[in-house]
Amino acid sequence: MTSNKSQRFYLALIGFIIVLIVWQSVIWIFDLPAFLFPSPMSVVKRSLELGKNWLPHIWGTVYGTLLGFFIALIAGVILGTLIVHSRVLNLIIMPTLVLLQIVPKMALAPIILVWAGIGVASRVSVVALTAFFPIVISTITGLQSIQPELIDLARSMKMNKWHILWKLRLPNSLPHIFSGLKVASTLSVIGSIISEFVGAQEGIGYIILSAGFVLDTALQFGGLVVVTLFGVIFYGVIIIIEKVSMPWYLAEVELVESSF
Amino acid sequence: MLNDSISGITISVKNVNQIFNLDKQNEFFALSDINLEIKENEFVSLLGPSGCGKTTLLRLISGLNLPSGGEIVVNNKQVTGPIDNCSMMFQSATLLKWRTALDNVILPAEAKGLNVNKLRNDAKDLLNLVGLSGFEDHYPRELSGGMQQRVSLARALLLDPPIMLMDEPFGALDALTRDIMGNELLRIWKQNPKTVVFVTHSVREAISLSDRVCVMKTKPGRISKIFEIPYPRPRISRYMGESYNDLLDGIHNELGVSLENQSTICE
Repeated sequence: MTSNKSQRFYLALIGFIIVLIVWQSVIWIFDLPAFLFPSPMSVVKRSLELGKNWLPHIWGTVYGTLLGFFIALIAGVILGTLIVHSRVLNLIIMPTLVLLQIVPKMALAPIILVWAGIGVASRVSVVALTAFFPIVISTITGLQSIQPELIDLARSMKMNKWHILWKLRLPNSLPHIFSGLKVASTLSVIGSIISEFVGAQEGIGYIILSAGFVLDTALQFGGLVVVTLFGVIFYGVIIIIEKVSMPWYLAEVELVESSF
Repeated sequence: MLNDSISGITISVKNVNQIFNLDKQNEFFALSDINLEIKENEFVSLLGPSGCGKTTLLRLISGLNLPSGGEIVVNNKQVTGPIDNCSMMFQSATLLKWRTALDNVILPAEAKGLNVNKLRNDAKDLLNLVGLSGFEDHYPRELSGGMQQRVSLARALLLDPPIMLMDEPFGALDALTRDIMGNELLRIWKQNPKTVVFVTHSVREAISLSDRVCVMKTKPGRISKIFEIPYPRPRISRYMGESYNDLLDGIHNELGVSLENQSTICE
């Protein structure tokens, strides 16, 4: 198993390295203008030049993304639980929620900017709104996915409704909720960048945008790499938490490992 | 009511109907005029084809559903909801897949708010009783179907309920495991007698396990005949001779299964 994992890792690494080599070679061979097609080396060089100045920007994006994500997580799970338990609430809330989801966040972001101003609040709001829907839906699906016989069993043991929710439905719904969290995590990062594009004073998106204004494409690519890295680490952390909290649930983890 | 407790009747089903309304005009009698009395520590099977209402009747006895007509009395109390002092087993093991075998067995104690730590040892002993010692920390996905049902049986025994209701608990297992589990159940029941209502569609299973077999029919769901099985257990057909074959014939006739089909049902 271990040799298989390191085999996969090295093969993937070789893939990335080949891409970099081809990229660099194409630029050399065709003598492409540096401001349009920065070479991998110039991307690294330019990014390292920024050095410590990266930190407030990275922190801005990371903080906004995580905070928005957690707000969406708590609100989403609570709302999902309430919707499953009340038919009336379901009929009232779901149509509005679906409608909200259809509104493109790119269109919503400037409006939120007007309301919340340039800064953390507006970024967190956009992230939370983007992450909210997948979390609610996956919570609802998870809670509803319980085997009916388990409910029979619980009733025959004279479990009350709280017991059934806490000991049966919620643990049973964890795999679904985690898949919603994974989707929400990628959407959160996107949401944060969108918000920064629309109006911000710091953040990785801000760097990408500002670098674009002065045709510093090397730095733009640098920003791209950094934000992608953040997304990957965020996703990876969720996978680790999933594995730790659900030791009985192997399937998903093995799927991801096999895709790496 | 007083008469029931003197004569030891634990479960009393009187004139019970279960009607499902398909629409305003059409009524479907899942159960029609069921009358049955089950004595304390009796092992009774409900035997019949799909759709005869045997599972419906079991659910009515358990209190998971309430009858459209008639009444069910368990331990001198009318059934108005899930009954006390009873455990159930279903066709699937219904284990919580996020809990280990041991944590699954103690679930009934948690449901009642009892001191779980005290009962952990009982749970361990029960897993040993069903032949699963060493598997306490295994998750259900690491256990075979038969092993999962053993955990389910251990769980059903945790609070030592005087009544056990079982809905084809071995139905999803292969034939060999089914026989083994049947013997396990009898072994445990002999050590610690309980009132058992056992739903099955296997004639052999019903005869080898029960004191009485209630043959049920469909359209409408009803008990058509009750057979006494007065033989000591274990019941090995070779040693029971002709009377066993007569019993087998009688039940098959009642079920409407022809003699030719019996060739597939052999020892």
